[in-house]
Parts: sequence; structure tokens; C-alpha cells
Amino acid sequence: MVTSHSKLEVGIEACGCLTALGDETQTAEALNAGVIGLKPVPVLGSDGGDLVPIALCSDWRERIPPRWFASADSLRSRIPVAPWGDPGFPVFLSSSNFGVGNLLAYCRGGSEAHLAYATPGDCVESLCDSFGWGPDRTIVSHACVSSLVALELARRSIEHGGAEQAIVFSFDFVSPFVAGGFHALKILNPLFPAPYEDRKEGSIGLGDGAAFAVLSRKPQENLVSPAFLYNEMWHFTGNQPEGEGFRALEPWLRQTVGERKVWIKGHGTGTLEAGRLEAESLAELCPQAPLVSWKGSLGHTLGSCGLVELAVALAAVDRGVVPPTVGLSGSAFAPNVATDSFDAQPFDGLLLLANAFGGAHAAILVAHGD
Amino acid sequence: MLQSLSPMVIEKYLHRPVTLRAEGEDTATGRNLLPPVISRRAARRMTHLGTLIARVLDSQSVDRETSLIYGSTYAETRSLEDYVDSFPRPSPLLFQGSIHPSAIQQVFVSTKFPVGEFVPLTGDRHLVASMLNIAFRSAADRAVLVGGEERGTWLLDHGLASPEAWAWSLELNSARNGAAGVVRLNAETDETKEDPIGHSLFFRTLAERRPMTVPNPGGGSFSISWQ
Repeated sequence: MVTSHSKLEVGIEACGCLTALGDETQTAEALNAGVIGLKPVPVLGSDGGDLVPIALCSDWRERIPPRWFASADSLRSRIPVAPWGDPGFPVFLSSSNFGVGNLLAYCRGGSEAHLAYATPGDCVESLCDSFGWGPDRTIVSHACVSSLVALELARRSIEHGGAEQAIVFSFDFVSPFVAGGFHALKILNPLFPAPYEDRKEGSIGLGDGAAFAVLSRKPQENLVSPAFLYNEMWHFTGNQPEGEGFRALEPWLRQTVGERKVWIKGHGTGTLEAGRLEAESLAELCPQAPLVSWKGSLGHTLGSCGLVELAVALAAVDRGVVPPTVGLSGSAFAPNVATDSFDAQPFDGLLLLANAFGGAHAAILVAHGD
Repeated sequence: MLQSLSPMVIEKYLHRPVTLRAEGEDTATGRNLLPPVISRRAARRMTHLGTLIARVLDSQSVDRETSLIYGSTYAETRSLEDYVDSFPRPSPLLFQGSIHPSAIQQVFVSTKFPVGEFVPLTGDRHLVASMLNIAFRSAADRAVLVGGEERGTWLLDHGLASPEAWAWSLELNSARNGAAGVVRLNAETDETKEDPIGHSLFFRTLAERRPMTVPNPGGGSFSISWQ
């Protein structure tokens, strides 16, 4: 029974991303046009292997400086100027990969220069130093919920930590290290992903992605809620079979979303079991809310997916049209899965969800102020 | 900075500090020393870091209302080394095991024990300051902080792994009674005068129960004193 909703205090001042389809506006437009960013690529790069769907921003051969460096720098040029990393302006960095692809590149005969990016700390230090950011850096690594956890920590730094503004910067660029791992787990296969589709075999695609969000205590058009964070700890790569992990969202939904009319950007990678549990539980908890996933085009941008998809969602709302679930052609697991674009105007906000290994769940609400 | 930091809690009590040094210990020995709540079957798949984390968490109490904050600079070093070595036929188990928060997940998945807020962090120079900031800003009254490193092999040759295996844990809350120490955020300290305390130095200082000052790059510093 929904009776009210909580007041949101922290605003999103700026948010942008980079995907295989371009920036957030180009990506939203391409998704609305049904463009698939995923392409068949040999899973081990120049070492060959099965063709698997990957959406790349650039040629993925490892190089020095790493290929993500230029992409991250192009994104940085769009970030509002502030003394980032100095007191009052904390930086939250997240990734599930950081520069680990460089470690594999070194071991496959590459130069020792790759090793300068091989640990998360060294990787972030090189990035922040090149950006001229100060030392107040928190580095989050919680697999595919990393960027939403970082966003929540940034929100708290404003609400409880006295920061004026905070920035979240997240980047995940695919390498044979991670593609080989998902392929070994047999969820990255030659099939293109069809999120929330009831079919015989599940599959995911992987994608490059980087994004930023600047949060501020000043009034903003879009406000971000306290996050829902929950970890099933049922299995490393699976969820509780009855969907308890997904339904654990309910008290948070009641308190945070309340009477608001929302649409949902789900996690929706294309795996069967998790896709069914997510779609069915959201249909039960929010039957009026259209559910979409864009990973059938962008691929799964891993630890950055939450922030990348937030930027695309805000750009879509700004242009008034929300892209549908992309890649799905058969019957869906639940009736609320949206297979056509829809008008953003009737909605008060959007729910953004992400999941990760260990049965990790993260969710945020983005809505206009009361 | 005092004015801008004023909404944040500036003092928390430190309970049940636990440190474990595992010099020369191998993974098999670590598995044999696990608390009985972890089954032998689950233990067979645990990494050395996973076993160390399980042992230091055995003294702590984690429930759905606890904020669980994990820090490791290098995390699953041995899985990472072995996973890279497994190419061109990458191992699915080693891939899973190489992911940063795997050590914590090994412990909780082994008992199928759900956790609410779980914040895994990495880095080195300001890792401990980040962990303390998050504990101080959490809505949860109780925060369990846990960290550790395992000893590397070939990554150590490149300075990309810890030379020793160790782990630690502690709880921060608002209860003065029974506290072993107190952590204060001192907003007025000039952090530029203090060197950062990296993860291994923090561990050694904690193990010796020495007072310490952890510079906060967001302003001021955290002081840890013992009762």
C-alpha cells in the first residue's frame, strides 16, 4: 500500500557518458532507432577464439597509453570545472576492470609499460593525475554494481559529509581478460543478447562504457534518492531461485518511490534465470511501470553500467522519448517489458537497477523535486 | 573545513579490533584454520585471502543493518596470477575468484548469509581514510571494517602484490561501553603535514595498538586512540 514518498535532497548537476554508439544523446537516439552496437568479435582479440558480441568504442588491441585513456579524457573535457579531489569536492571512481587488461597484455608479450596500469590504485592514480584531480579519491570496485555504489557514496558525501559537489567517474573497457572470463562461464556466446526474452538459451554481450555524474547540494531539475543496496550472498553467479533477492526491493520502493509514476531501466543482461526473476518481480512490485533494458545493443558495460545507463536515460527523458528494450524479438517474461519507445512526459521519475556477482543488487530513483 | 564538515559524525567507538598475520602460511593451512561455520566443501574453493577474511570476521557480528566496508589494495592476487596464466583457455573459477570483492563473497556465500550494505574499496594511499569516511557517513549505527592482502608470487616480482599475507577487522559504532578505542575526525588538522597511511602501515599500527593519525584527503584527519 503506497501512501507517500520520501523527499530527495541531492541533485544531479551534470551527467554524461560514452558508449559504442557515441555520447548519451547519440546513444539514446540510436537506441530509439533500434541500432545494435554489438558486433561479432573474436573473444581473445588478436589471439582469435569464438565470435562473441561486443560493443567497442575503439580497436581493442591493448596499447600504451591504454585505449581507455583517450576516451576517458574526452569525457573529462565535458565535466563542469571544479577543484575536483580537493576538500569539499570529493571524487568517486569506479570500475570492475580498471586496467587489468593491461596485465594480460603484458603477459602475452607486451611491454613492461603495461604494468603501470595493472592495479586499480595505479590505474586511478595515473588517470586522476592526468586530469589534475586532487587526492580526495574513493575507489569502488563491486563488480557490476560499482558505479551505483559509488553514486550512493557521492550522494552521502553531500548529504552527510559537507561536500558542495561530488563527482562519480566510472569506466570499463572490454579486454580479452574479461571477455575470456565471461566466455569461460558460458554466458558470453555467439548468440546476441535478447534481454527479458523467453527463449531456449541465454546470452550476454559486453560493451565499452564510461560515464560521469556531478552531484550537488544546489537545487537541480533531477534529484537522486538514497540507494537500495542488498547482497544475496546465495551463489557467486546465481540468484536465490525464488527471487527473494529481487523482491527485497519492496520496502525501499514503498518508502522511496511511493506514489510516483515511474519507468524502469532494469539490469537485463540477457541471461535467462536472472532476466526472468527481475522481470517477474518488477511486474509484481510495479505493475504499471514499463521495464526496459538496453544491453541488447550497448552490451553490458560491467561496473559502469549503472552510470552509463543513467546518462542515457536522462538524455532520453530530455528528448522526451524513452528507448525500448533492444534485441528482444520473441515473447517477454512479463507484460511490463516495453518493446516500443514511449513518451517520457507522463512519468515523475525513473528507477535504475543493477545487479552483480554475489547476488548484489543496487537501485536508485531519479525524480524531479517535490 | 570545520564548518563544512559539521553535519558528519565526528566520533565513533572502536570495538573488537582483530589482526591476523599469516607469514609463511599457505592456502591449505589457511583452509584448515577456518571457523567451523564454513563447511569443508566451501573451504576447498576458498582463496588464501578468503580464509584470512573469514578468520578475522569470525569475531564480528554482521546483520542486515550493518554497513560492511571492505578494503584491499591488491585483493585476489593469486587468483589473478593463475587466471592470467590460464590463457588461452581461461578458467571460469579463477575468473570468478579474481574479482575484487571475492574474498568477502566467499565467506558469506559459504553460509548463504545475506548482507545489506556492502562497500568494497580499493587503492592504497588513502584507502583507510576512504573506509573511515564511509563508516562515518553511513546511516547504519554499526559499521564493520575489514581488510587484508595475500602474498603474491610473480606479481610481487613487479611490485604489484603484497609481500605478506595478513588481515584485520574492527567494528565502529556509537557505544562507549566496552570500546577498545575511539576514532575521531579532527576537522582542523592540516592534512598536508601528514603522510598518508597506506594499507600495510595501518595494519601494522593496528596490530600493535599504537595511536595513529590517518590524514583525510577530504580535510582534517582521523585520530585513533586506545582506551
